[in-house]
Amino acid sequence: MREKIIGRVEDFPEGKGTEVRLSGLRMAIFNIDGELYAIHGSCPHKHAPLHESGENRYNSEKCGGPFLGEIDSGSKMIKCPWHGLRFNLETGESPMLRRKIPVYNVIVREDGEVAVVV
Amino acid sequence: MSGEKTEKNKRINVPDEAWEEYIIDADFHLNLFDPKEYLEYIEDPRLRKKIEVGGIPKGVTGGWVFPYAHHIVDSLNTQGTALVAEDIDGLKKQYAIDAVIVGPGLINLPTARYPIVKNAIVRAYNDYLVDKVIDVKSGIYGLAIVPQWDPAACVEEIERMKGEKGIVGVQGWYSPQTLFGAMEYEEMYIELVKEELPLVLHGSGFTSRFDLIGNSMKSVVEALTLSWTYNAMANVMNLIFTGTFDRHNDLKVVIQEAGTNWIPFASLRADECYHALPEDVMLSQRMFEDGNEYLNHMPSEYFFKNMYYTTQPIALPKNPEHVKAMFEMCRASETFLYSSDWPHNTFDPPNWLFNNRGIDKETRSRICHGNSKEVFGI
Repeated sequence: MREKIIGRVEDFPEGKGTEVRLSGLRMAIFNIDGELYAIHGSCPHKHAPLHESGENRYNSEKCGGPFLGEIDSGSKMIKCPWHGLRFNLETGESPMLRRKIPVYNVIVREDGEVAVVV
Repeated sequence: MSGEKTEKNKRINVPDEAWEEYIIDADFHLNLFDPKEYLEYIEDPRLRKKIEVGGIPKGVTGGWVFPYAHHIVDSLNTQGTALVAEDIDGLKKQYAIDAVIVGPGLINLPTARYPIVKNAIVRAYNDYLVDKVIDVKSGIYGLAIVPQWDPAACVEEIERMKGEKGIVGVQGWYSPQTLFGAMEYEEMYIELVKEELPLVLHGSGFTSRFDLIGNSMKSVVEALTLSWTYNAMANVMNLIFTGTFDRHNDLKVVIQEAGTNWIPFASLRADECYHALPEDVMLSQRMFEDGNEYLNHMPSEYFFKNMYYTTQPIALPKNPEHVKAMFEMCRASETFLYSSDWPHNTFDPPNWLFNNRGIDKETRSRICHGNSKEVFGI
C-alpha cells in the first residue's frame, strides 16, 4: 500500500464530489462536513461518474428539483447521478447490489496536502 | 467527427472514442409540460382558456413515482430540462452527441380526455417544435406528433407539417389502446409512404393501467420492466399480421424505448405460429379486402425490412460473445438506432457502444448514425 498525493485540502470543496484520476484509477472524493471520503469513481451499473452526485442538473433552474443523485451527509450515502444506485462512502457497500465498490483511506497532512492509500 | 465536439465536457464519463464517431440520438425528449409554452400557438379562445386553466389534459398514468425522485416530476427530468434549441445544443456537447431526434415527452396524451383540446396541444406542440426547437444546422431534428385518437386529424397534421425543414418523422405512442394495424390508419399510412416519413412509436405513459395484467402490476419496477415491451410487441405483431406492410411496402416504423432483446424471440415465435396457422391472416380486414391468402414474406422478415428499434434501455448480456450473437439475431447493424432517453431516469449515454468487445466498429457506426440517417432521411 502506498500513499499518493491527490491535491490540497482546498481542492475538495465541502458538500461536493471531486473527480481524481491516479494512473488509470478513477476516484470520487467527497467532502462531507470537512471529512474527506474516497470512493471508486465509476458506477458499476452503467459507468456513471459518481463524483457528479449532488451536482446541479442541466438547466436546473427550470427543473422541479435541482440535483443529480444525492449526497446524504447523515448516512454517508451517495446516489448515482444517472440512475440512483446508492453507495456508502465509508464502506463502498451498495445495499441493492449487495457488493462493495472500492473505497480508499484519505490522509490529510498538516501542511494541507491530501493523499489516498492505494 | 463534428467540429463542435471540441467543446466536449469531460466531466461526463463518455469514452474518448465516442467523440470521434458521429452520433445521432434517436430518442431525446423535451420537457414541455407547462401550458404557458403552448398558449401563443393556440388561437381559439375556448381552447386557450381550457389549456390555460386546466393545463395539458392529464392521462391515466397510474400514479407511478420513481422511488428515488425528489418530486413526482423528477422521473421525467432526472438529468435536467431542455425547452429550446439552445438548451439542446449545449447539452449535446456534454455526451458526444452530434444530432438529436427530438420527441415531445408528452407520453400521457393518448389516455387523456378532451380530444379537441388534445388536438390543439398537438398542433401547438408541432408549431413550437418548428419555431423554437428544430435547427438543422445544429443537428436538431424533430418528430411531429400525430393525434392517434383522431385518424383524420393525423392525416391533416402530416399534410400541415410535411414541408417543414427538419421534421423527419411522425410521433405516435404504442399502448394497449387501438393497435396500429387498425384500418382507421390507412390514410395515414398512404400519406406517410408518399412523404417518405417514418411512423415513430414511443411507449405511452405506463398505459398498462388499461389492460388486466398491467392494471394488476403493483410497482413501477414491474411496469418499467415489461409493460412497454409487451405493448410494443403487440403493435408489431398487429402491423404484420394485418398485412399493413404488404399493402404499404415502404412504410417504416421505429419502435422507441421497448428495449431490444425481445426481437429474436418475437420474430421467431411469429414465424412459428404463422407456420401453424397460415390461413388465419387472410381474415384480417386488410388482407381480406386485398384478397391476399398469405403474407408476402415470413413474419420475421418484416421485423427487419420495415422496422427499426431504438436501443435504450439497452440490457446487454455480460458475455461479449452473447452480445455479438444477440446483435446478429436482431440484425442490429440494419435496425438499431442509438438513443439516450435524455433527460429521463432511464438515461443511456453512448458509453456501452464503445466499451464492449461484442460490438464491432462497423455495427457501432451503423447504430450510431447509419441507420438513423437512412430511416430519417438525414
